[in-house]
Amino acid sequence: MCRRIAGSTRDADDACQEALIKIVRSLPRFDGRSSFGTWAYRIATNASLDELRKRQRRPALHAVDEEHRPEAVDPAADDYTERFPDRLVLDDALDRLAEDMRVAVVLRDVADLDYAEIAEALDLPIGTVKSRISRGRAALAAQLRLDPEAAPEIRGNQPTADERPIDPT
Amino acid sequence: MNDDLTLLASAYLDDDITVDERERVEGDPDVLAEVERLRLVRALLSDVEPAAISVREAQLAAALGAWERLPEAERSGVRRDVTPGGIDAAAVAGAASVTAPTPLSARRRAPRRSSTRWLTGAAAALVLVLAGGVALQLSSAGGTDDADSSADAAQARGATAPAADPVDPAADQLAPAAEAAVDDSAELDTGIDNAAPPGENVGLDQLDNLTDLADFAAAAVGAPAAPDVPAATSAPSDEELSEAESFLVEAELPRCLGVDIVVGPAMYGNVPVVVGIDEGRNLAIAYRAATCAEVARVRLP
Repeated sequence: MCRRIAGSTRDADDACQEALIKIVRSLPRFDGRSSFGTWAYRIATNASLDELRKRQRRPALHAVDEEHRPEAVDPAADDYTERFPDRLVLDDALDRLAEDMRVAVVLRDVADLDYAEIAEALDLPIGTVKSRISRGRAALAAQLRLDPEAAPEIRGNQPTADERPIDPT
Repeated sequence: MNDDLTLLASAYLDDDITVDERERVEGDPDVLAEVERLRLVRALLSDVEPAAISVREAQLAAALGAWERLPEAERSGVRRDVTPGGIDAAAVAGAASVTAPTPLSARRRAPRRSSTRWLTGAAAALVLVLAGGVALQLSSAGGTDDADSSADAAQARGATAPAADPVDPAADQLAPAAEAAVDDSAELDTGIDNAAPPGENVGLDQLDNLTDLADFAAAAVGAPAAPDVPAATSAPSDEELSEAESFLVEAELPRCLGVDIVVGPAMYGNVPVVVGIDEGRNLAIAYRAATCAEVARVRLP
């Protein structure tokens, strides 16, 4: 969940670390009004959003296009970078999504919370949660240019590397 | 596709719709196509690479460290009355989050407990063998009272060693029971044999990486021998126990690769190993018992 909200692996690690420490430190003050899980997810969401905002304040680099791409010294490394764009495209699509939709979608599709739990964690009405999830998913599908008929070729329908910003981390 | 239909498709995907809405979705190919598009989004999102075990270990260790640094009053002030699930839920959540790194401090404690249990069982078995031998000798000498008293002594010893229960007080039945106990402890030891099936290694400490190896070895060096062994009242004495322990360690766990101290058996990844310490070079070494082949080594902290 931290990975999908915070965006990059390093930021997600920081967010997760921060969330765990906050959970532990706040345990004595946990009053049981919500379930422990919901409470913990709320903390993790806030920690992830903090990391996301920090990252968004940092300058972003841009990927090198295919023509200017240096030759790989290690073929195995090249294999790895072949797979890398999938993740970057998804991260980029999430990055472009408004924070409120992003959080709602991630809590539903990654953390697998139901509408009521998400509503409780985000302190929102259920109707708002449903709407954010729906709009968020639709926006992601549009950005990823998903076509169920061509699901195996998702990669081919995605933006080219030079269109995507890359996180400098 | 308008927002209402997208909302409907999204709710259908989450199985949060009425019967009427379901019929509407399933009767409209456009909405069904939207459902499939959203399903793809969900599949892509949920395909997250798990964090590295070392990262999770470090995070949990930091969190536990934060807990330990909390003032005692604050820690004990957790309101169990209103949060019945508070600490327990935290523990459960921690355990569940771990596809499953174990907290470092727990790992550090675990090896001693487990290795002590193994040594205690083995020592108890050895004591029973000795007791059985003594009892047989006495019974063959014909002294009924003596045999009874030795059986009582054996029972008293058995009380300190649950692994050996039940023990029949009759002296002539002691030996088979003792042999059975020895067989049990031998079964644990076969865990270090390469050919042993995986199921027999269940009781061994699991070491996943060099840090675990270093912790396992360091815990053994730092702690006194068998601190958890309950004090025996009648028998066996501490001396007997430590003799039995060292005898078993020497007999079953070979010293290889220049190790000075044999810490005990463990599982390093999927490999059953013996962990030893080379004091001169300050190294913890994991090696195969049968071949002395080195599996891993790490400098002790």
